[in-house]
Amino acid sequence: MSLDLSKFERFAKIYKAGQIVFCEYEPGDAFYLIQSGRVKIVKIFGNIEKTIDILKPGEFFGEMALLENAPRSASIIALDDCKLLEFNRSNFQVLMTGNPQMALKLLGLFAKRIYDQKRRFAILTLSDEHARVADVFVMLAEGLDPEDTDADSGKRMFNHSVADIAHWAGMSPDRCRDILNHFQEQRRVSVFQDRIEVTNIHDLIRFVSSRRKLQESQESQI
Amino acid sequence: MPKPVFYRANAIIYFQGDKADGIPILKEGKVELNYEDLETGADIREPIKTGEFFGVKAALGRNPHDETAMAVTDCTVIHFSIPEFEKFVSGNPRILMKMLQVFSTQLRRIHHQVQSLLSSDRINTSQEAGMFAVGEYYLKEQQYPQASQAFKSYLNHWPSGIYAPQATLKAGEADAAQIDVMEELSEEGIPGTDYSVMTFVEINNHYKLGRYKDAMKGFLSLIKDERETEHLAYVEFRVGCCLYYMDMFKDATKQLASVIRKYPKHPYLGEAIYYMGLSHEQMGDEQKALGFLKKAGQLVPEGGSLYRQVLKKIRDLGGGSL
Repeated sequence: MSLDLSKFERFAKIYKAGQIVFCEYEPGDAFYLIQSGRVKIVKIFGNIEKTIDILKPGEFFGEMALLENAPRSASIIALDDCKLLEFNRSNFQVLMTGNPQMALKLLGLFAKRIYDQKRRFAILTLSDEHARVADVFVMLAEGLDPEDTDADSGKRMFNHSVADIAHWAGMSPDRCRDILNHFQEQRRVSVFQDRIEVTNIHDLIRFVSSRRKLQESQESQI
Repeated sequence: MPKPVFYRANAIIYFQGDKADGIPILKEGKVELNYEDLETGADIREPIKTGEFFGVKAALGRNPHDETAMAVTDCTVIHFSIPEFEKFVSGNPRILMKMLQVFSTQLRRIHHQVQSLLSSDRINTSQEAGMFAVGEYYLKEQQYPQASQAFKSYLNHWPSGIYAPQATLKAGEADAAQIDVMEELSEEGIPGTDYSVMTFVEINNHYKLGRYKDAMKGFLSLIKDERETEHLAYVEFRVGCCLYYMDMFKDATKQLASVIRKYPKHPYLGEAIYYMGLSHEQMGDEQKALGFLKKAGQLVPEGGSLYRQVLKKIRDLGGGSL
């Protein structure tokens, strides 16, 4: 999908490699389209900076700012010298109506985000904390490329830290570590320095689903 | 070409969990979407209007459908493939804008729902504190440009915020640290104080009194103006020491290595190598540190206080004697 961006030259901003476009927690109302160069999305968890994703030309970021003045949920740092188109709510409409290809791209992005957020929400509605942690792995497994999965054994490997898992499960890292230790004793997971291995994802899927059913039956009795 | 498909009453057009392989639009009849409300778990039935696309989100997001679409009466639905759909709406900016609006409303809502469940966890990290912490992280990691930018953005948003005095200080610290020593040789000017009028003795006094930032700026101005060329080796060496005392160990090793290369007969060579060792120790490489310290021990005058310091350091690192 090629985009004609010549009309938008006046929105272009140049960032040098290493420069921060915006910071995690920073308020902001601009969203960006990468015209050239790459940026990385990073988040700081305790003492580690984690790269969540690397975006290439033609991709958007900061689009949540269009919807509300929520603080930025991650930092964006230019990986190369970058040319970015910067938009805000006031020129958004002009941009979108003038460039349906871009509007379609954004529509696809919103659709994906809605799905991801709903999935996250489903985790957080579980009252059982063990089930919540297990469901984080189920969610992550759903996002894996089927080619990367060892379908028969149910074994899955995740390059995530305890802090990441805690973040998605909506609990403190300490509490999450306790639960992971418990899972480790049950041989359901193995926690390593740089990764977490799930012994059998199907076992976790069954575990989550039985806890969810239990919760639903209890709630319907009230 | 989009093709019309006829469904009898109660037929399922797609199930929740099905992969979306196109986008239907209702031509005539009645269709309902069924799904469970995320929060209450209640069954929701949402009627589709004639002329309305449905299942768009799953198709465009390349996700499974999160609702079931059922024909309530006999009905006709026109199926668009994804490219057909994209082509169609591209020519209809009004529909496109309307869909963006619907999606963004949904996204905002679900985003709030997620945040509300997370809020108890996030209570401890206010936006201000969070952003300040980002700057602190980069400062600690010696990523000075990022640290400086983060603190300055903080100050930009919260000029009188609770962390403003600290942020001002730390932004300055990050900026000072950013002055890449070797670049400074060719570049002009150091912002702020006019160090060019300070004499060598004054600058050296700054160093002796532990005012390393001032001392470094002064030394750098000497290098730039090529004043006191007879002291140039010493001045460059002291810049390395300043960097060490300012906890910029990596930069210190770079600077000191350059001094060692440039002035192999320098009277302070032993001390330069000693600081090289100390910097490596600080960076956690004890083996390298020991190597430099032992070398320094052979070069510094025996019996002096520096010699004793070198020996002590070697012992502390478990390197025994020389």
